[in-house]
Amino acid sequence: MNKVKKLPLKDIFFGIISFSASFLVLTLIFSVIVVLYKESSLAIHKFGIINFIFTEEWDPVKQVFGAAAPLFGTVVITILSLTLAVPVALGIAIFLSEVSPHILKTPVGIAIEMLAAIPSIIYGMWGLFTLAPIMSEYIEPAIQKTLGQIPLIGKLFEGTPQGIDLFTASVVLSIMIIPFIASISRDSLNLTPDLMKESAYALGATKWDVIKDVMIPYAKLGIYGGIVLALGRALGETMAVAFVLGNRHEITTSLFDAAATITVTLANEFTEADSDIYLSSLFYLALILFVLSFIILAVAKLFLLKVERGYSR
Amino acid sequence: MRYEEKYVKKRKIISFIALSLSTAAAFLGLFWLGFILFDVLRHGISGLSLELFTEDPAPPGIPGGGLRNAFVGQLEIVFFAVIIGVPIGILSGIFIAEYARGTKFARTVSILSDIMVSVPSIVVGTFIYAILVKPIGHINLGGVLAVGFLSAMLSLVFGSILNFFVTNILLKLIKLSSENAVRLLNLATTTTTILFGIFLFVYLLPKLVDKIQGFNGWAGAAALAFIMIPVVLRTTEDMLSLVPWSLREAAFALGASYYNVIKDIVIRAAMTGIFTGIILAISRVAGETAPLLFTSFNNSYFTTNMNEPISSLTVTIFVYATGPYEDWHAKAWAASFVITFFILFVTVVARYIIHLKYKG
Amino acid sequence: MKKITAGVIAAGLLSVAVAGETINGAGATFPFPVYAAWAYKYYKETGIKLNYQSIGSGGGVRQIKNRTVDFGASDAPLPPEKLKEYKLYQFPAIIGGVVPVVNIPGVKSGKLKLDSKAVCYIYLGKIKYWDNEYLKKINPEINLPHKEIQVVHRADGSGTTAIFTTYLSGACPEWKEKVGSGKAVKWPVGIGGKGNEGVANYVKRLKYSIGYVEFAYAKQNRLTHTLLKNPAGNFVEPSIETFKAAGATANFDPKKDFYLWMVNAPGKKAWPIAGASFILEAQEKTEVNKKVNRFFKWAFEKGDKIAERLDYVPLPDELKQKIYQYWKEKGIHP
Repeated sequence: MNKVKKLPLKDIFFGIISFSASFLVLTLIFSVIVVLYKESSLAIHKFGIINFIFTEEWDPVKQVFGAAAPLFGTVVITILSLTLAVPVALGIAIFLSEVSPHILKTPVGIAIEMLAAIPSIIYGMWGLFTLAPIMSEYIEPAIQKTLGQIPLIGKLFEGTPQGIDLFTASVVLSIMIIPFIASISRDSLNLTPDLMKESAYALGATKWDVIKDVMIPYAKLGIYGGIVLALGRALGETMAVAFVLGNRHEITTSLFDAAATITVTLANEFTEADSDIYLSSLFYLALILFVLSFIILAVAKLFLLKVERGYSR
Repeated sequence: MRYEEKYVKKRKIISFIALSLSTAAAFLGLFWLGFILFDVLRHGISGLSLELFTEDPAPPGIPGGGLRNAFVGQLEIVFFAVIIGVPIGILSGIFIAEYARGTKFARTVSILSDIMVSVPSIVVGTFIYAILVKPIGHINLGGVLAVGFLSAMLSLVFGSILNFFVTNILLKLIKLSSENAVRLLNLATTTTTILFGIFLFVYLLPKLVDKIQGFNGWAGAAALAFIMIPVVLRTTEDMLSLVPWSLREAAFALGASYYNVIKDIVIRAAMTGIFTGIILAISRVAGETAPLLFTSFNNSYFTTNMNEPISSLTVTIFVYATGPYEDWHAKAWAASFVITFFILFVTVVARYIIHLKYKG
Repeated sequence: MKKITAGVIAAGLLSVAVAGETINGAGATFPFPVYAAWAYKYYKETGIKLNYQSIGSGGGVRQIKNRTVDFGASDAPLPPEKLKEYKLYQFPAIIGGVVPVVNIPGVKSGKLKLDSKAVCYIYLGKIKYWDNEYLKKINPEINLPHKEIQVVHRADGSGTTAIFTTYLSGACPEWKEKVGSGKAVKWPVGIGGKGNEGVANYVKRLKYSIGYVEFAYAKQNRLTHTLLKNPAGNFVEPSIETFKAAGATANFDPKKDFYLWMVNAPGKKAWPIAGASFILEAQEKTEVNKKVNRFFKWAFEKGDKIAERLDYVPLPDELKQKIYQYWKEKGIHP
């Protein structure tokens, strides 16, 4: 009788090792949550949750800390950079998908993706040495003279333009996230079935009509997913912003003012927090950022899930 | 008729404007790329010299010196990050794509690895600081966990060897009749394994004491590995899923074990994709600064010792660019030039490989 | 596969190979130029590396408190109670001065006169423009422009800030009440730079800005420094002489672990914002401390010229003797 072969040793080894690897991955992410919580527990107990989120004060002398200012900065530059990036990125996606001659598609596509490959610290350096002076000498004064004169909107552009502010940081960040939105949007647009496009053309639509009324609605969810992914990236970006933001723990109405984000605060103050409550508050900020990124990711996944379900109909 | 013609003309004009705008957007994107790269080139080239690579930094205010310690440090940190991160990524990718395919476990790991990818790199730095840098007494938390994990794994291996030995050899020699005796033997095997694990742990732990205290290169490598693992895992999982099941069936039909199937058939088929994924992950972490800021920290001297703070190119760029010395700025640009073009080169090569493989 | 394994093992061995002894220190950016210069020479003479990372005094205190470095450096001395709590030893290593620096096109170093009230009000945000009445009054010969003053301060935990704000609190009751002193304070106005380096960087780039840095940074980066009115009523320029004059009246007491602020010194020629930078060591690490103190003994004996070249004031001889005595008492004399 042939006995069923017992699993050879090699198989068992490999199974165990590969299982351990995936188990490690499992534990890693839980450890992050646990460790972050443990380190911030001091601050959480002292400041609470709602109170911490809405306190603007960040006073290492009196040992009172609040997340309002860094949160504000994070939210502002994320929104602003997305606002600046999405139109440009969509334009690029449309170009790559419909407008560009075939030979150019690959090289231009690769060139746009190279923008994503440039390390974020290079963006920071370029922002500090090249863009900030241009901003403070030409662009920001120009904006002040034009948009700055409009009554309500003008408030956004008050103050002496120094180049080290929310505006410059947002511009640098927007350039950084363009490729993320552009490549996913381009891929989504390319998925539009030719049949749909041809039917529209047959009805006499112009190219733009097809893009606007057929392709974009079809690719809508993919594009949203790409935007949300870029949002997550912008939320967690440190180096591109750290050089040109100015580190000011205050909420402000002018985009030409310096501010702070959670990431930049962590980068600047982490090794120097000299009291336990200070360090714990910094970990608390890290925890908040982690939760925010997680929520954004969950939303993105939801969109993308809907895309898949939509296509199976 | 005329109304329709005007209407058509209007739409044609709008179309033209819209498409021109999108072309303009593309040019804008290319413009930024060119502008930034040109700047890096312009400032960086003037700072390049042989000394940059062969000499160590001079104190501030004294011109000259180079960044040899930073280049070597960066290479070493990335090297170890790859050694730690890539095997874990590939192995777990294999596990969930093959052994655990379709199970809830696989889906959970997949989702969790997506979460790992979305963790901001600076938060990764704070996490690694808390477990691998901050000392608890004379060791640190991460060390304890690592030793625990290692002991667990080794004892599992030991346990399986013991089990193999017991079932295949011992039982053949000693003919045990009653079931209880067999159960007792199994219990003995399990207990021995657990004891072995505990023994290992207690033996290895004191070896960690006072070895690594404070900032060290291993923490930096671990932080970068943390970022790499989910990328490699996803790529491996995706690439393996693309391999048609029929390929595996054919191998099984020939009598191969799953391990053999994976090793010789499936991996070979997915190799290019996995390899490219690894290269892209490397190019991503090679330019990271934030995770190194409070893990590997910085060192003004040349060292290859990973138990201590070690300098890296990215952190050095950060420190030098925010400093006031012109000489530092020049060096920061030169270092930026080297790192940018290295990463771009690697990215382009990786994409070219994909292009070749999937178009040809 | 075998080759890769061999390579990995080789790299692993290399990574822990003994590559010469290293002492790790971190902290104040104030003395960084002189510590770095000393370390450079020390390495050439002894082969021992002193890796000093200038991350700010706050960082220095934190890192030595956590024992993640071998010694910490802080310009803000810790009072004996705190030293007891953190189990640290403390002694001064060098004396320097904090100077206000400005970036006003056309104004050269040593020309702009400021007094404590002016600095106070500028940093409180009460004086907003360079051509403010008060500033014009003390600087009649200078044509001050009608431009907004861009205030730069420190974003990180800084001993330099501690010295500067202690000076302001001492000279200016309004500042003491509204803001107070410390390594990091709630600045009413201005943007924050990281380290002395960061502040110097910003002042260099931003026109019409004002900042405060340790004097070596002002000189090395050719920043425009100002004159300050001292408590004796004279406008003095920052230099070794005026820093030494400030140090002349300082009485460091080893029984209080040398805790002392040197600001607002009474001398006629004294610079009002002088300060010492301190070294912090973990009490229980006797062997490590001996190694660290060997470096500082070398610096005390042979590093004076280097310090003076960078416009720092080396400690007076009797203070050095007090420090050696302190070391002997604690058993950490090299």
